[in-house]
Amino acid sequence: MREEIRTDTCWVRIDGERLDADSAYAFVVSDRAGAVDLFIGTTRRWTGDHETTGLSYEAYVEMAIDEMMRLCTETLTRWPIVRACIHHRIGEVAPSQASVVVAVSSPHRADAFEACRFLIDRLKEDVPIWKRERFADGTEDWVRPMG
Amino acid sequence: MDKMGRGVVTVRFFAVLRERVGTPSIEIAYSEPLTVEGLLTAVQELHPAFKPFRDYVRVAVNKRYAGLDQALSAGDEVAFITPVSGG
Repeated sequence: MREEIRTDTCWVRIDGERLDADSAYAFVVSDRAGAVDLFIGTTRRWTGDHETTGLSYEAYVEMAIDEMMRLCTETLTRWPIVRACIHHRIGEVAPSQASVVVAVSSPHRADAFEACRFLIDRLKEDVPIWKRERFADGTEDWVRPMG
Repeated sequence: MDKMGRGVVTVRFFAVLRERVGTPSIEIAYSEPLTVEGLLTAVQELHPAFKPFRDYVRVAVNKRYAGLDQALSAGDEVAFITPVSGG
């Protein structure tokens, strides 16, 4: 499955397939920008000595797309951002693959760093997507279902 | 909601809540004006499995986060959102 909204300045996508960071970079790069910030969140197998053998993500897709779009639009009002992009994967994601890609371009680097961090931090607080972890002992569970 | 304050709203569940309640969505009919808070109570009474999550969910009405005192209208799509963990 794939759902997305794409405008001249914002591109958000929820994707059941492998994410393509190159396409996010290609969207934001601009001759009006001197900086592109690209954040890639990857699935982590090892947390200390605790092993996660598989991860899957579920989304309230229609709302997640809208929330991601609201966040991108907000960055454009708060910083001199040229373009912003968020892609999030759902379904099974193998360890070390990208679960989220955030890309931002701006005339100067400080704004791109700040806006990129804002997008990933707010995504992790507000966008209705949930992670389910599978452990080496065969058990699995949703991540912190009560916060 | 009609003039008598009656209507039906859909409540959607995801992830852990979908599993615990045992369904992705339910419909709640009401016969007097209903707020988000009133809906939380109604669902808790119908589905005791929701009770442990009540204090942790945020509620979205028509795909936007809403406050407890927001009034609901017939046909609204409500979602009970447990703490998210994307990224």
